[in-house]
Amino acid sequence: MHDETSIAAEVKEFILQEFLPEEDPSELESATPLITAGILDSIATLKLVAFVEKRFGIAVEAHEASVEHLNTIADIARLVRAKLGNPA
Amino acid sequence: MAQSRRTSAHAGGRLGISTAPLRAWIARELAWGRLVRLAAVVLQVALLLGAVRFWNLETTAFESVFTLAAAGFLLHHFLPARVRLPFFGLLSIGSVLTVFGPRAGTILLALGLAFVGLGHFLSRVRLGIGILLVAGAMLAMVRLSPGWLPLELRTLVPGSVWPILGSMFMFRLALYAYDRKHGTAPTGFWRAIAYFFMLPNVCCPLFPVVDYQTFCRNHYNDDPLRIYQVGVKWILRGVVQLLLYRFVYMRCMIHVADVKDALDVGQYMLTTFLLYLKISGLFHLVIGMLHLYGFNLPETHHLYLLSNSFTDFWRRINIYWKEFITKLVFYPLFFRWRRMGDSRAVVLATLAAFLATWLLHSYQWFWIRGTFPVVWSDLVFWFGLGIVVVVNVMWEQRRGRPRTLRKATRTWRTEIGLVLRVAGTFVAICVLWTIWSTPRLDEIRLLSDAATRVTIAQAVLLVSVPLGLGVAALALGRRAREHTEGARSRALQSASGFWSSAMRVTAAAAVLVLIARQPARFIPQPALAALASDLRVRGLNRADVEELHRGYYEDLGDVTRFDNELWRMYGLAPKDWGKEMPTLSVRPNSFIYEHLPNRRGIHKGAAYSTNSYGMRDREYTLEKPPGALRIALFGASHDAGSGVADGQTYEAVAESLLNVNGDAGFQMLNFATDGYCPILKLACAEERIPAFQPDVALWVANSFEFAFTFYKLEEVMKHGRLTDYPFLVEAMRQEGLDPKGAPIPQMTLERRLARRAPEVLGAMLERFANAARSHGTRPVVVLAEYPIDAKRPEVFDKVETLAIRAGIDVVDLYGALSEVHDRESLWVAPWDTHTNAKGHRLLGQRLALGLIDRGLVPTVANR
Repeated sequence: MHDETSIAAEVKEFILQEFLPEEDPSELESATPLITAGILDSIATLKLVAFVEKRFGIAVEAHEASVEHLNTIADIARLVRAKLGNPA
Repeated sequence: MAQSRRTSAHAGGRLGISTAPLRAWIARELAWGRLVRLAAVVLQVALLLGAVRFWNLETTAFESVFTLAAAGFLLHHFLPARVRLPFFGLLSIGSVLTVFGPRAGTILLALGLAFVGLGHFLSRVRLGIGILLVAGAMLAMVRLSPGWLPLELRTLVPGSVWPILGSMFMFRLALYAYDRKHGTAPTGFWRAIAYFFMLPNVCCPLFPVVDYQTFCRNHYNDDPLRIYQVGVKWILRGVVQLLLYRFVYMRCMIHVADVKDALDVGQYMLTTFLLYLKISGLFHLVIGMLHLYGFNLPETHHLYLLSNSFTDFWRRINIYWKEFITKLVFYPLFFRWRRMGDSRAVVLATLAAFLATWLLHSYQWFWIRGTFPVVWSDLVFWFGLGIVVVVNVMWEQRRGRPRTLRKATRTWRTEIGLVLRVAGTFVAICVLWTIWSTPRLDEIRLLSDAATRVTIAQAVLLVSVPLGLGVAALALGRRAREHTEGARSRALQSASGFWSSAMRVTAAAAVLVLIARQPARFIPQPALAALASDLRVRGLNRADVEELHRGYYEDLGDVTRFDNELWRMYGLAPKDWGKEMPTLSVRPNSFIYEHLPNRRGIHKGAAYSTNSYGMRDREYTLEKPPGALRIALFGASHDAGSGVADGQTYEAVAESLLNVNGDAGFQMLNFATDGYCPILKLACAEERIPAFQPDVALWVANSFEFAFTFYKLEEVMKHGRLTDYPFLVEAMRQEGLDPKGAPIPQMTLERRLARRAPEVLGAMLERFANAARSHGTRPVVVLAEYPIDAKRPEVFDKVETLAIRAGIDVVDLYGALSEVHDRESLWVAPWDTHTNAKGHRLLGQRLALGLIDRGLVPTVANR
């Protein structure tokens, strides 16, 4: 069963590999803003959505692809955890 | 101690109120350090309000709203948190009633509340969105105001309300309904009031598309003093951008007809694009004002001139709009279409986003003007931009985009690459923007022809501008957008950061105020001081005034540039405002037109009538009464009194003043007619006036006399009257135009003949003088000042010289309006620069005195 910590770790790894390949991993914290700091634009956000959907077997809706749910690793982990807890 | 605790607890218990939070609040907010910082913010707000007022940056309505916002700011800050939103809502409602008055304001509020209710309750109901759309369509029908709609419905909403009602609801209602439907933001009555009627919107037909979710989430989500300081910083930024805009608009713009070579083309393209500073400046101003009420909203524009790609441009310019389209169009469509494959879905959703932008641009125009324009240049711009963004996106998807959490590593290669990309993007955007802003194909052809005429020196100068921006991007282009989404504003996290920002804003705002008040005292260089004085004048530049005058007589349906002052004016004008008086009629087989006789009606809200001889004047006999001194005046729409009632024209005022003894010995016959350019004035002087045997004939010249010298020439040629005016034939031959050849478009005639205007006008005045004298009439040229002539027009001196050369007396009315500093107060309406009754009164007094001073009419003592 995924908990938020493990989810956050996997999401972090994906973000580093996909968008910040030369970045020092310690620079990316769970509260680092991603969308609002311009690290994730709209296309990158959709890639991230595709990743979490495939990796965790959840469905993200259009209105959830927002700053509210995807701005930080912590936010993303919370969203995934909530969806895993409430698959509907 | 225990006893006091028991006492206070007992008191609290008896009343059910805990005083602990209040004590904590007092300890926090009334701490000396915070009060001093708050005072610094108040000082900055006051200085910025002064800057806006003294530079006349915006309308008087905006100044009133800003004053209201500034006055309410301090009280609002000290209110309990739960009362702040209702206070802001009430202030916003108050601003609507203040700006629109009780009747129109109540209508706007009532309609608005109806749609808020519909949006709130229907967004979660099956088919609710459809019902909302139907309700919107019904309102749109009222906006269109077709003839078959009952008059009560057509006149239900005052014309001035539509642009603001539209800007409040046309996009925000969709966002509100979306968030309500998905439960992504809290709702509530006062929250909705605050969101839809938010304070600065009441005087801004163009307003940032504030996201509802962001609006709710970011309300006081950080230290209030930091939020306020960001706000005043952005207000200052807005003020500076609006001043730059005014400089570009008033001093740097070049009319397409005056473009001769590549340098002129570059100037035209650059200034056309820089007109966008109006929007970015205004948006910074309004979002800054919202910060004063705790709405910690993000930046609306971010260094868009330094964009390094098309997608970067799309991300930097009007960011709120980009996020609105992403939220309501791009993401929903992508999620719906991703079964086709992610790449295909991205391409289709991106193109749909730009299609939506194009449609919504016209939709916005519909609410503001009542028409839904489909303009080819709009299509070219948005689809062009959409396609290049799609290509850019696909490129970035394959190659990746450099991202970093730290400062980027800089090498010579990356720096040169950045400079070139910024320069290239800027040039490409300028080209697209020019196409968008120049919807007439003949004008595009003029520009492309002129662009081929370039010298090496000009080429170097032209290239230096985009390269200069590229170099600027090295220093500034990597700065992160200012975001305050749940994170502290980095620049102001520390006290020193706050104070450094406060001192910079205070110093800059104080300098702006001082320069505005006394430019000569604070700017040693006279030319710069004069420039500063000029920049304080709000109004149209010369090109737009000419276009406006043309627009009075032609259907100017292509005013779609949202950053044009003309657009603002057209947007505000009621649909039924009307251009020329509806009494005009062209003589059969002639280019001459005049008023129909014996007509009455209402034009621009003022009563008008024409007499039995087709003059917009009282009745006169054809025969001059014995002993009367008769003066014939002929000019254009200002002189005809467009927008003022019968008897309020300056001609009528002067006539009354000359007849002050009541013996009616003076008669001033007003032959002035809308659209009378010099050739029509000459025709009037030769063909209409002599029958009335005037003693004096007044040719009223204005600051457009040269600009309109060849106006209607195409009509003159069409009616075979060109040979009646040999000086026109000669001017055409000198410019290589064949008078007997194929028809030449009016714009080409004007452009090619422009430099002949002084000699042709001189010939016209000579002919006028000869014709007048041959009928025993004394010819006079009157130099008429209009409200748009903030300074004495240079053309007046030239016209005066031509008149004197022809032996014509000159009466100079310039200075009649000089005591009125706010020239717009002399306009008939905010969207119509014709002289109002007050202006006519001043001109009439000056005319009467001028005629007496020049000995053109006898004084009472001499008669």
